[in-house]
Amino acid sequence: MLCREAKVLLADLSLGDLPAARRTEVEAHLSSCASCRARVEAIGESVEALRRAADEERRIPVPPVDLSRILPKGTSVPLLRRILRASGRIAAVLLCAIGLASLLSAEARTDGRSLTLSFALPGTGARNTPGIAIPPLALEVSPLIRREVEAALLPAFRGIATWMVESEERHAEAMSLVARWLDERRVNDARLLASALASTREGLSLTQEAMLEVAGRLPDRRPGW
Amino acid sequence: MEAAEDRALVERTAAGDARAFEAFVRRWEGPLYRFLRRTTGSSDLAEEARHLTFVRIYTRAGRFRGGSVPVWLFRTAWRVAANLRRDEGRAAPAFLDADPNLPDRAPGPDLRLADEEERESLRASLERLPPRDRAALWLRVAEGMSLAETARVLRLPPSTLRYRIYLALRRLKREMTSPSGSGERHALS
Repeated sequence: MLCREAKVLLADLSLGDLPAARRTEVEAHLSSCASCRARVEAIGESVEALRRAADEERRIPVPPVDLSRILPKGTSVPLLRRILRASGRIAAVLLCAIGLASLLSAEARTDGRSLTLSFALPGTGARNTPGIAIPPLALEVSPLIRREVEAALLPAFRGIATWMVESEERHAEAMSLVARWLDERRVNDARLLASALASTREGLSLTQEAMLEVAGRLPDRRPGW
Repeated sequence: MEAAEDRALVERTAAGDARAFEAFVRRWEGPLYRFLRRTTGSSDLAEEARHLTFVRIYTRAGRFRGGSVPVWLFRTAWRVAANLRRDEGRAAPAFLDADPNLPDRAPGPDLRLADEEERESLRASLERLPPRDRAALWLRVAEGMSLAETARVLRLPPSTLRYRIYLALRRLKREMTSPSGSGERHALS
């Protein structure tokens, strides 16, 4: 083995990342080459200094991630904790409501040409719709569990939003969908999709003006409990 | 075991499990922050890049199609950090020394790195490396990533990366033993 072949392997040797056969070859070269021995010693010292620095840094606490800036409202606090804060009959009602909402499962899948959103909600049955037609659900849900349903739906809407902002054509379709839902008074669905679009960096940068226009048409007051 | 756990957390995040996402974040927020701080040279930028990385992970968890979760995570972080620097048109990263959020320089009694001079010399020497080389060294040495994994994170051919790491380690040693060095700084690219 020549020096020019051995020296590029010296870092892997110092990191203990060479296959056994290669290691044998390099070590055989090192036994007869003082220059490469000096190189591997220098590299080894750099590796050890880096490892010491890394060990030291691991002992230092890092600022924690603020999950409330990432997760949708209602999902950052465990549901059980919210239930325990309520009292008496209100707690019992919440338990039933949240129990129903926990049965909701939503999934968004795409084959690259069309998007299918499928979900099942007790009392309404499963809906599987080709294309980007999303049947209205939020408006049909009892106000008692609407927030939980929306929180459960939001990840699926985010999947839709991510898919939609991948091309300008689909993105334009997403914006017209939001506008159409507002005209059809599907306010909650429009709000969900608009907020999901806004949560994607691409969605925000591509449609800032359009989003502001849509947001201006959204009612300020959010239907709640 | 850890690889399987990571994949399970990502799959559950994609299914809307907020607790799984929280567990994933808590597991990786430290390594990601340290990687970004070393490669960007700024604690503030590292925090911002880390936040955006986790936002992207959360919104795109459904797109993860298997393979190494750490590679996917660090590759996302690397691109986010590079975009951040490009979008904001910042100057070359400030010296690590000037960052007020850096750990206290006074070595504590439990520190294994007793040589304060070596620590400062290492920081300054790393600062003089191009960001991609800094990132490569950190992933290979501090995070223990394989050559193949590091190459996928930084989108370099493994053979090219191997040679760059070799040169970077040699340069690091030269810089540390001669702190006056070239003084050349590199913007994130």
